[in-house]
Amino acid sequence: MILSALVLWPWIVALWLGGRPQDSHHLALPAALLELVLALSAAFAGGTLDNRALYLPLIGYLWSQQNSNLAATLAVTAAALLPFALRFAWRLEEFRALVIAAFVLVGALMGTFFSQNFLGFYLFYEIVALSGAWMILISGDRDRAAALRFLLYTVGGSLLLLLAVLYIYLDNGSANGIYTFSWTGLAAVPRPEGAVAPWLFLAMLAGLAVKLPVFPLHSWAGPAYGRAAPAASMLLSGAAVLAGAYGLIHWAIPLLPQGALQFAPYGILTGAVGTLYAAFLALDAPNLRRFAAWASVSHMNLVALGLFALQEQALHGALFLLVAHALLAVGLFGVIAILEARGLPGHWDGLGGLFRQTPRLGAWTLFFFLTGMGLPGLANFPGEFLSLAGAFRVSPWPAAIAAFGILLSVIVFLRAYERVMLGPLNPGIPRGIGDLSGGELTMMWALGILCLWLGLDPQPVLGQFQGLLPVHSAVHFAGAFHGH
Amino acid sequence: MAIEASLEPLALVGVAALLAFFFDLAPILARWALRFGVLVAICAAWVVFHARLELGGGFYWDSSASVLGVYLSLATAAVLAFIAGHPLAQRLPGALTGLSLTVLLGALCLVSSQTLLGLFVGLELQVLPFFALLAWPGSRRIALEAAAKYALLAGLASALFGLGVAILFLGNGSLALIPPQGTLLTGFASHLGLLLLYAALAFELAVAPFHAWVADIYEGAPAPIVLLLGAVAKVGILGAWIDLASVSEAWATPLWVLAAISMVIGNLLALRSQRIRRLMGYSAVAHAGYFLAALGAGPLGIVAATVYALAYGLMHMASFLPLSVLPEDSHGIPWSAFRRRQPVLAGLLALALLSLAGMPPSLGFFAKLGVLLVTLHGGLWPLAVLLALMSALSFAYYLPAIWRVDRSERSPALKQAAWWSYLGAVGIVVLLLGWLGLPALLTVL
Repeated sequence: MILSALVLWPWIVALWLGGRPQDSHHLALPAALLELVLALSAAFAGGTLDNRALYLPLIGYLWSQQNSNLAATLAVTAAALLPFALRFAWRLEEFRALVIAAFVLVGALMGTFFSQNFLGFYLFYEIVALSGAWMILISGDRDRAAALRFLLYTVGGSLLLLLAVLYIYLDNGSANGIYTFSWTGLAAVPRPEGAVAPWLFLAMLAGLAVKLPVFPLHSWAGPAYGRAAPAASMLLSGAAVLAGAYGLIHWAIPLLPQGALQFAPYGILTGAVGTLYAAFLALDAPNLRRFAAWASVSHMNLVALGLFALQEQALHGALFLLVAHALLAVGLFGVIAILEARGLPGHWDGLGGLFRQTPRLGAWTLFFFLTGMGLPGLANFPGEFLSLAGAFRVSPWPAAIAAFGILLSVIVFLRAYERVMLGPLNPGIPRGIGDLSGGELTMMWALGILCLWLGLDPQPVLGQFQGLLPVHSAVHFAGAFHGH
Repeated sequence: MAIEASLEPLALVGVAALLAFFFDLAPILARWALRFGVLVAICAAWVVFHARLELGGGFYWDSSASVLGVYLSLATAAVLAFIAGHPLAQRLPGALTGLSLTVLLGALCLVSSQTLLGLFVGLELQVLPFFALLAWPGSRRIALEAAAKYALLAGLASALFGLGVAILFLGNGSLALIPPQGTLLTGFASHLGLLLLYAALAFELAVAPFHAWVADIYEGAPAPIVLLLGAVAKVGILGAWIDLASVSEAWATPLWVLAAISMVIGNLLALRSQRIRRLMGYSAVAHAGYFLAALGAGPLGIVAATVYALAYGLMHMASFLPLSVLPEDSHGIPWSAFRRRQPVLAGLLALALLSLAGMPPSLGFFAKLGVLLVTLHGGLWPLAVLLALMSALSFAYYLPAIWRVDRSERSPALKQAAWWSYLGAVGIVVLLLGWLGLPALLTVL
């Protein structure tokens, strides 16, 4: 019941707000907090809470959900982002429309995490894409081109993903006579193998990696994160990416273990190149938003590096980095939201020397930038360290490239900080610009404590990922495991 | 005189169509003409439903024919109910009803006929009424041009079809389309004849190299007539394709070549078109391609193609029903006025566009899913990849059609009728939840 409620509750709220938009300010925050409580209770309930409905012949139960540690952890992460994002969008004029889109997005995300039926997963995945595009369309600069580009990338990719799974479905069905889309049915005996497997894996990758976004499929991310309102960018870069990563771990790799193994060396390399390339893009960013966008893409490529290493340590690191990056996304885009609320659009020319005016904001910005650089003791460090260390065991050279990308990101973050906060006060900044207000400070503290907790005591979260590879694929990878 | 059970639906609709023309004689009767038409169409659905698996008289209500027949009858009923509130129906309502029922008669012939002659008669029956309907009194001047274009091309297609039937008869001496006997492929003459039949049907369906007429007619003709054209006449043609393809399985290659060309050209042209009706016209070319892709994939493809034909008819209806409410000369969709004054129909239009693009969980997605499954099953994976990429591309024009703000944004005079909202609500439910009925449909097929 909890799993269905996790999907349906935000959708019900969105429907209600669609009819009575005047309630949005009263209802949004309590509803989001209730969603977080539901997600936490799903995480603590553990086991398999399974419920089914909508049986279709040849497809199975379309609405069927299954709990797992990984899914519950990601669900809690996504649900935790929601109240922060809403709070940062509080004073925007498009708040009402944004709340509806955000609730639809989060509900669909919960569906992707818990779906036990591939078609169910796919339906939710597409709703994530559509509501994401809707969020880009209605918030911030209301950039139609960015929204359309995002949607074309994700829909085009996910149709290829669908094709690959249809192929597996037909192949499985003709082999053992059971045509079903359920996870247990599809992944029980992984087939097909041989020459077609790498192609199928590439097709699945096209759908899943585009959401992350992994290097050469990343080019929608700059405009999308850069032009939407910061609150929308938080959800896109922190929460929507979870669906892509989860799809890779839960669907693509177990369904095609051979294809995954064959692709792994190239995957590690693309991840490494992407980390470095996005860091360069961030160095060259024309404004603070683009900087945050490319920095986030750089981290996601590091996640891809860790996933494709197909090695326990790297996988744990990558998943941990996903969770940490969600918090970082709130921090980075939160700073941008705060600056925008004070009438500072974020171009480098219009910033500089802010620290003198707003020391509290300056301190918190430094805190999040340090997190982004991967300072030990802060949230990103364990993830970055583990994924690099794991990937290094599998293939050292790409890991070295990625390490260089992380070094570069230190420079990138420091330079951005210097441009925004240090130096003489920019004369273009209005005089009496206010420091953090009470509400903003509370949020910063909450985020900061979470970041410190993840950084200083990563074990509770890392423990959730324990045994993930064996459960999913010990049988499939038997012996072929490298780097152990 | 006893009528064979397989002829009952056709006899009912034919007699009713003739009767309907006499309603114009008296003004009191004329007001009831369209309601009479709705009633007849609903009765026809009932009779078709009971004629299931009846064979005789050259007609065979096999599973796909009876499913499509029920759909065609109900679609005609819905269209006539809608037109009853439309200003177009003020002149000669009896004749309008009679012609619409004749179109239905032709479409029923097309889906159920088991002889080539039956197909030819069906084609003529549903083509001829459109010569008059496309330029119905009360529509714009440009409609006359559309009607003339349609007359020319449909005449050409009919001629090709007739020639094809004659050559086929010359080749194998039989007009039968029943699968065991009707192996159409013996000798050169049969191949040539079949080629001509395919060309004629491709003209009628606006499949890609034969698509030139479609956008002009979609743009020029009155919207309610385009509604009838797509939701009834085209689905009839799709039924004829299904009949033909099921007896000429060896001829799958031309089908999927046509499908590939049609998908690419239709989508690219739609991407370039600015006006909503032209866009719908070109996207119809692309949808003909998706349909043929299913048909080219062997015996399972027949099932998927039937489902696609059904879904396409429903989606076309759901998009042109709301478009008929707008002024005839509107280039874009005046969303804000539309949402304010006809919220249900505006919602239906947005949903229909998403469904045409194949957005899950709408009906259009499940129809495309079926096509993808059968093409992969048939080993046509390049076609499946092309279909996936083209469907993704189609988002690039369907979504801007939803987002685009009409620059002129004057408040246009929308046509109003009280019961249109109910029709729209039914349409929304069908598009959103229609796929729940697909398993039941598959067991029938």
